[in-house]
Amino acid sequence: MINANNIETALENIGSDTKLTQADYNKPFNEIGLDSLDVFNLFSELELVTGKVVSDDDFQTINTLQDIIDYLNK
Amino acid sequence: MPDKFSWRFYRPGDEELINQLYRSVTGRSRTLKQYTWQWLSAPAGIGDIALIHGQDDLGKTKLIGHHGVMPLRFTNRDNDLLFGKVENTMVLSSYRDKILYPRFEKRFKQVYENRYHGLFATMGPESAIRVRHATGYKFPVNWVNFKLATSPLAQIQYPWKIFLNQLGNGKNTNGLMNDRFSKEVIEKRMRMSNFLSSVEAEKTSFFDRFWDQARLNHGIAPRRDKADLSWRFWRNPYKEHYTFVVDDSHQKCGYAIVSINPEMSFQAFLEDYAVINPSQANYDELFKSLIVALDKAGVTCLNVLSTTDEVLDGTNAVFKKYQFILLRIWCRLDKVRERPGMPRFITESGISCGLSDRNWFVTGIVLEGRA
Repeated sequence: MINANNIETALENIGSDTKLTQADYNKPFNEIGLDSLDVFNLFSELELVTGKVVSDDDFQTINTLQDIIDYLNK
Repeated sequence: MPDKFSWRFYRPGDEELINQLYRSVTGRSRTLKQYTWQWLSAPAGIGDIALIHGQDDLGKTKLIGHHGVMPLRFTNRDNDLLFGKVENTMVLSSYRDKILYPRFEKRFKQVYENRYHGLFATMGPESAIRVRHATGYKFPVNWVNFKLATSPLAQIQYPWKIFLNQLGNGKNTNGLMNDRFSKEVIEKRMRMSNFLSSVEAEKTSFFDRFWDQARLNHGIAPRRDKADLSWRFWRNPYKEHYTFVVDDSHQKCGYAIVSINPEMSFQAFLEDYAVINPSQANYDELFKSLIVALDKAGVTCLNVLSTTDEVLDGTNAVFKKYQFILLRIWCRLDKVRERPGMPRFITESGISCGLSDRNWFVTGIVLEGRA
């Protein structure tokens, strides 16, 4: 199961210094200071941790950190 | 607004829309002839051109992104190689925060990388460099620039000409306050200084067997068969190139190709060079002759782009020797400034050939080739 701690660890591993609050999990990536490359790196990191690969179609429906948690826990 | 994105590779007929996207993103116009030359006519074949389309709620699609790889022939002594140069990575600005572009590039790379022994890029904006990092490229060497003075007098003439050019900028003072001359005038000057025009260079027999001999003394290097040089330089639709051949004896045999900016004809750009036997003495001989010829043609400064690859230490030493004195002092003081790295990636087939991402014979030939 993926949770907020995994997300924060993954963000640290990709070198992001974004400090998250609970509300940030439901905000679009760009509103919490993550650009497309940060998001790409975050997915790559989480795909490694979970062994799950996010399909191209599903990828386009994921817009927030909460979406990532919900998707990977499906 | 499109909210769904898809991609596919190039199909004949896409050229016009790609050029429109190119103009929207870069602000530069590109003709069909220029596009065809760059992407469809190289001796190594057609480029890998990936297009990203956005689709809106009504099902209407629009080209919003492009990523290309130009296939370039390389050699490693007697082995033929195919390298790919990443070029024209672009996304319409209004979509940059709507699509996760790096994800697309990763997909494209998975499809095309099997075709190549190695991939590389030259320079680009910070965002492009970050994408290369994220998609597995290494940055083993850095780019270095040199400005070579063609004579002792050029040490003074060059800054003066730059000053006059700034003063005369935008004014109709052709040849007086600036060094703006017609192509015909420049060509005449260059030919009188022993440079070959593109037509003459294509006809000379010097290049018929040059690379067949030289490649045996070179590791990883762009291939310089006549077909490669013709495409890249002599049939380049963007600008004229002038070829200088040194053919005194077998060992000193070599060439250099330069271009001149017609707006500032006192400056030349070193586009490519090679000698049969790449030793510092032979490079010294080639550049000594080249610099004398450029001086005779009224050129005061030769701009050179090189890398910190160890195999280029010999040529870089020669470039340093001819560098403007003030620039040499400045370079010593300016140690802190970080030079951009050159992104390189050796593919599985490159690894199986024992290729390394270091020690490439890089010259300006690897640049895009436009004006």
